[in-house]
Parts: sequence; structure tokens; C-alpha cells
Amino acid sequence: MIEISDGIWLVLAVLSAFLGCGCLALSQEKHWRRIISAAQSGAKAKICLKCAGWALVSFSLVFCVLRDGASFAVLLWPMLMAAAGMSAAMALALMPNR
Amino acid sequence: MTGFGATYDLYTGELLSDHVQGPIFATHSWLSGAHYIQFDHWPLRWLYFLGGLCGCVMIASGNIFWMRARMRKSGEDPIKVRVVRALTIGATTGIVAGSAAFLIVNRMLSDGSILFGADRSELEVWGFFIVWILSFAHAALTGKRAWSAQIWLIAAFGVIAVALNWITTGDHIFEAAGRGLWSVAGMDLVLLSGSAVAISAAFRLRKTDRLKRNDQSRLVRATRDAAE
Repeated sequence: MIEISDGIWLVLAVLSAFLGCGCLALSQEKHWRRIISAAQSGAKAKICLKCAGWALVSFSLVFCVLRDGASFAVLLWPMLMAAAGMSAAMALALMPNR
Repeated sequence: MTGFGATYDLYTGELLSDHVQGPIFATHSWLSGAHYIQFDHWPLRWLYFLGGLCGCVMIASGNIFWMRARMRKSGEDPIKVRVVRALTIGATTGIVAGSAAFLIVNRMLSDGSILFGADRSELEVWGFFIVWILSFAHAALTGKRAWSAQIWLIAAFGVIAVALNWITTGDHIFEAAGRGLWSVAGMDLVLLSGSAVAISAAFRLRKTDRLKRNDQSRLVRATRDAAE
């Protein structure tokens, strides 16, 4: 088994939480139009983004458990999700209106 | 932490009792851990800090939506809107300015100084509360303009707190970081980045204010033209 340091698990957990929240936001029509294109997003793209978002968010929980064990992960993960969700919302708010 | 360990018979080595944490005690210690976070886990501490900031954003944005809805209905600023606005400004920018005042008072008084029978640890708290209460009064008196005034105050307080720490202890950021004093350097960095965020927020407010004023004057001109 390869030894993976705490720092790397943390970076992976943070990245997947942030990317996951971004994907979930983009899976919504309104945000897609604002960021990707004015055209409607296809049903396929929507499902893909939703699946990718939930998968990344759950990977983040797995990385938290691998880093800290279950007892700390139940604290770390919700706090991380709050930060990621808030950042996604803030990024959307700062985007110029099309 | 109590509740750990095992008891053995001194002569036979027989296990008499095994003090395993009960489910209630385990839950309690987990919950108190979650509240006090007195463990060595820096990512979690930063996330708690961010969580606190998110709480401020939630309260402020909720109140702003509430005020907008009331203002749209009446067109004017009714008294309830003015009250909620003063409370919102005091509770968001005022509390930050008060916290910075706490740090400034700490640096301005030497350890062991006594004023009106209160020592430094009490005077710091007084500094916090005086600035905080004044921020509510200021917001109640000046209304909407209090936002940008208090944001500028936060920006100034952040820089002053860092400068005073440098002057009184000789530890500027690089000095502190070089000696591995990350709690000092980190505090300074957070204060300075807070000031930077405050300044950018103040400029953003000014820009939207100007846009709004332009819109309004255009609207006035349009209605005047239409009347003529």
C-alpha cells in the first residue's frame, strides 16, 4: 500500500468538494446560461453534470474519512461542504450578468 | 478525559472491570469536541472560521432581502426598514469594527495599566462594546451611507492593528514568520486581507451607487421630457 500523506488527502477532499459544488450549480439551467452559453443546456449535459457533482461530493467524503477517520470526517466534511457551497454561490454572484 | 482504563485483580490478573466509554458519554464528548474544537486540527479551525463568516453573510443577506421587499412595497423608507437597517449594519460591519477595536485597545495599553478601576483585559472588552454600540447609533443616524463609512473604518482599523503590533512588539509579518511565529504572522495576514476585502467592497458599493444615481437621473430626465 502506498503511503499517502494527510496533506494530499486534504487537497483531494477540498478539490473534489469545490468541483462537485461547481458541477451541481452548472447542472441548473439558470447558472448554465450565465456561465457556459446563452443557449439551453441539453438534458444529457444536465444529467452528466448532476452525476459528476454528486460523485465528486461523495468522493470528498471518502477522502475526509481516509484522512481523519470517521469521527473527524463527520465534522470536516460538512464544514468543507459549507465552504464549497458558499464559494460556488459567491463565484456565481460575482460573474457578470449576460 | 476520564472514563478510560481497566481494573485487574492484583493477585490473579483477572480482569475485574473494563471502563469502556458508554454510548451517552461518547456522544457527549464528541459533541463538546465539536463545539470547543480544542484539538490540533488546523484545517478544521479555518473551516470553523469560514463557517462563522458564512453565518454573517446569511444574516446580512436575509435582512437586506427583507428590507428590499418592504421598500419596494412603499417606495419610501418606513421606520421598520430604518430600524432593521441600523441593526443589520451594526450586526455585520459594526461587530467587525468592534473586534478590531478590541485588538487596538490591547496594543495601545501596556500590560497592567488600570483605567476607571478596570485592568487591560476588561478595557479591551469595553473597547469592543463601545465601538459596537456606537456603530448601531451611527447606522441609525446616517442610514444607508453608514455601510460605506463603516467599511472604511474596518479597513483603517485592520491596518492600524497590524501597525500597532509592529510598533509595540517589533514583530512585523516577515519577522514573525521568519521566527516561526505563525499565530502572529497569520493574525496580521488575516487583518491585512480583511482590510483589502473591505476596501474592494467600499469601491464596489461606490460603483453601484453611482450606477443607481445615473439610472435615477436618466429616469427623471425621461419623465421630464415626456411631460414636456
